[in-house]
Amino acid sequence: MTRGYVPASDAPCLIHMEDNRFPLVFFEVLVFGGSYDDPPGLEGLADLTALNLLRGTTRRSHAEVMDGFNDLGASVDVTSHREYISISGDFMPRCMEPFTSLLCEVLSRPAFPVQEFRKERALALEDIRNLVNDDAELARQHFHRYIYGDRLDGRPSSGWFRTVSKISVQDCRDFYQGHFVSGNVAVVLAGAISRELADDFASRVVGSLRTGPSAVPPEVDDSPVNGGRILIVDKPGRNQAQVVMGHPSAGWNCPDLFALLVGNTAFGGTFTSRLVDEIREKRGWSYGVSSSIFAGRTSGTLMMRFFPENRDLAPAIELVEKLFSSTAFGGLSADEVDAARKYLIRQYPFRIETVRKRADELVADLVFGRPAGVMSRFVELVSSQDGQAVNQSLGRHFRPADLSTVLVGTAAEIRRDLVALAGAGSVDTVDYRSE
Amino acid sequence: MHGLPSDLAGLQARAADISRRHPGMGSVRVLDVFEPSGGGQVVRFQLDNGLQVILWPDHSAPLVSFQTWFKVGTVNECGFKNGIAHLFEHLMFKGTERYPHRCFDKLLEEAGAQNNAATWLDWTFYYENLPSEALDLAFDLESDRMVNVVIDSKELDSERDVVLSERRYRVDNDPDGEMEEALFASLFPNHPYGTPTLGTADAIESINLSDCRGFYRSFYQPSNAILVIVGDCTYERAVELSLTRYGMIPGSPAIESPVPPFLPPRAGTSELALDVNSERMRIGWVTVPAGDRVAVALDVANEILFANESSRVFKRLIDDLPLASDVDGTSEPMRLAGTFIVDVIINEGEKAEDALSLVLEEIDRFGRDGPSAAELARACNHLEASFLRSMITVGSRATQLGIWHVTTGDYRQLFTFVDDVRAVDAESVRKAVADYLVPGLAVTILGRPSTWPHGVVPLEAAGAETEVGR
Repeated sequence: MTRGYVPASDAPCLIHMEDNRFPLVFFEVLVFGGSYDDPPGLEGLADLTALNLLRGTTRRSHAEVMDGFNDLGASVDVTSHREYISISGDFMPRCMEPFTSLLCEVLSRPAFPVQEFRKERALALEDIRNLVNDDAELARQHFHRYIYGDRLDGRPSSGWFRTVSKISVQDCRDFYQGHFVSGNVAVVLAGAISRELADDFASRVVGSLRTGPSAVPPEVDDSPVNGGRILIVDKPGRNQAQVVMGHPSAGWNCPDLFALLVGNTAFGGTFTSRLVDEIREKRGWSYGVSSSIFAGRTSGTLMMRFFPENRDLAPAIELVEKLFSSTAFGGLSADEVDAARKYLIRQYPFRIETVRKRADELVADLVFGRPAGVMSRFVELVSSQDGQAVNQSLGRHFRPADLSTVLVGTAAEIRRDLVALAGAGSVDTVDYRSE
Repeated sequence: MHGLPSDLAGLQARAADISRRHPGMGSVRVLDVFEPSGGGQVVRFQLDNGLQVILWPDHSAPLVSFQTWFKVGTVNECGFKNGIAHLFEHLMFKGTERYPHRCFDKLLEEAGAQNNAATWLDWTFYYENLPSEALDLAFDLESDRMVNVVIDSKELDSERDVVLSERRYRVDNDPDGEMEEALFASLFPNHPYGTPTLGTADAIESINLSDCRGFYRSFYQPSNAILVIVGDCTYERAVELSLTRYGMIPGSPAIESPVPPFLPPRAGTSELALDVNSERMRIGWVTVPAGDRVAVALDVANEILFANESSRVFKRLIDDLPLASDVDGTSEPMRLAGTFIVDVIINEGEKAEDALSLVLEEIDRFGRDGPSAAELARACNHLEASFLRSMITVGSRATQLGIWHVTTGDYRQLFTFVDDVRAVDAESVRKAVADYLVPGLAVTILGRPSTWPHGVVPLEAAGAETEVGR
């Protein structure tokens, strides 16, 4: 049987880090089962449910809730991810009592008033419409859709216009009832707060909710859908294209992951990496160019990003493909591996510079099912990756045949070059306003 | 927060001891010491060649932020080509004889450093956030490139292409970037504050090696720079490294960089055709320079009017009507003048003019009636929390010190900010709005979905004869 995100326990799931240098407390309440739990046809439900928490309680209107937080100087942000909903922000310790009371009320007594729900849904729809103004984000979202299709990882957490517009207030109430339960919540407190006060805070938050079990991570199908193809997201008036190339990749459960992280750092993770050297430094083709691996629980996504001028687009894609292939099949030099390892090891203290960052690592353990404390062994795990291990991981996880290319650009300006590069049958085009 | 006079004489004596051990590197003069209420001690000292160093030790983690701030930005481009301050920032990574191209980044990355740079109207700064054991390396590299950068035409051409790519990314293909350029051009006509920091494409294309070398010689000197060090570095180490790495660089005469006087803004409304789905709007005013007490009152006003979900305009435009999906306000005092800018994203099918009327109506009401006590208290709490957020990492603390010192001339104003906010009363906030957010002086850029021809189209006669508020 698959285990839930939150280990079953009588005590609230609390991550606490104390640091009294500055009078500020970072908090986060994680409610597991985010957009992965959106029912088909209602994508965006977790997100909209979370946003409606701030739209009023059984005791206070939306304005009274927001004024209550703002009067204290507190920040409260609600976001949804694939695996969880996050209610996070910060407050000053002198405001802890009224802040905790108000937060508990928001979490345990949301009213989901219909008028306010309509306003929030209208805002969510407006945000989805506005996505077309941000080429980089538009490319990222289309990329996920293109490589994962209709499956879980192809769906944006905020949903699509056509699905969000169908969500009803009752859908949100139902989602809330199913997820905002005591066994499905973790509380994070980092900063100027003692363990005793943190325990009290967590008990109040978790104790205010109905009892219920943790959500269970879904099985994720991550085989690529459109490997070897190019998608033009056609938008008028672009003199450069926002390009995302990549494919599904390794998750935290993969024994190769640390070797792959070292390899990817040398390939496209620093200013002296292969990609930056060839695309930016030698040719001046793109101000930004990088390769990243976003590891999830059992799978991840490899994404290379750059934004060349239209005339350089086809040669830039061709060169990135070549660099990717030569790295996959030929590996990295010993010097490259050594430099990447040193960078990751010596830069590690910045990953844990603040109590909030340290707490974030423990949150990631919960979300991604990582072995507890794996990141405290980060230096050891990176150090142990020699050139052979790194190159073998690149051979397994850099898969040139599976590479998909998605770009936001003006098809009339670039399509001919891309067809010449990939063949007419391998280039798809969609309108930038399409979902 | 209260700064207390501290052991200036003791620090001076310790610096003198270190200078004696390094003959030929000159001496160190301690300029001031400040003790923030949160603990620790900030020391500012100066070498004989004019280089200033601001040090805030914090040994809680073996990390340090090392930043080099040059008092040069777009404002110093008079007599030079537009965009050169920013392009030159890129060229600073091209290497020296001692550390050739790519060596700079390679050494820093292997040391575990995060490094980069930024350019704005008044300043250019370079930073390394790195393990403190590698601080010597940062001193070596930065002191070397302050005076020894080697640029050839091949490197210039390649980096020019990178900057043109950056411009396409940040301006040509970003509606917010396009609107910002249009707004600043109208806020500061015929003044370098109104020219693009990235440079126009034509100007970037025209910059040559001779321009770059002249710009470098003119502004990259110790007397025009401030080192900011926050983190795991003792006073002795900072003094010794400063002397031994920078002490031999000769001083120079005071830098003369003529800046034309400000002209009145081209007040009024202009339209910009953009590749966007709905209308959007930026309204800007010229306000006071950094360090002016009115700037604090404007920060408070911004909180009450625009900056959060309890603010007046947010509630009306987004919650009550709703006309817009986002509202934000920013008050940014710079060295010679400030700006107050309001951004609104209009809902599809709604008209920006309706939002503009409402914004101006709220400003007018505020200018007459001022804030309530509850609004004032809320704004103070918000600004205090914002200040605390900016203090969390060594890098963000160093950046705050650098910005405040370059723009106000006194980094200590950073630490009195929260007290200054709490000292503001309702009348001074009301008056700041009434005096500076004058509807007749507003520059408004309306971004329309591009069924319109590209380019800025003036809609109303510009109120160019109106003087800028003091």
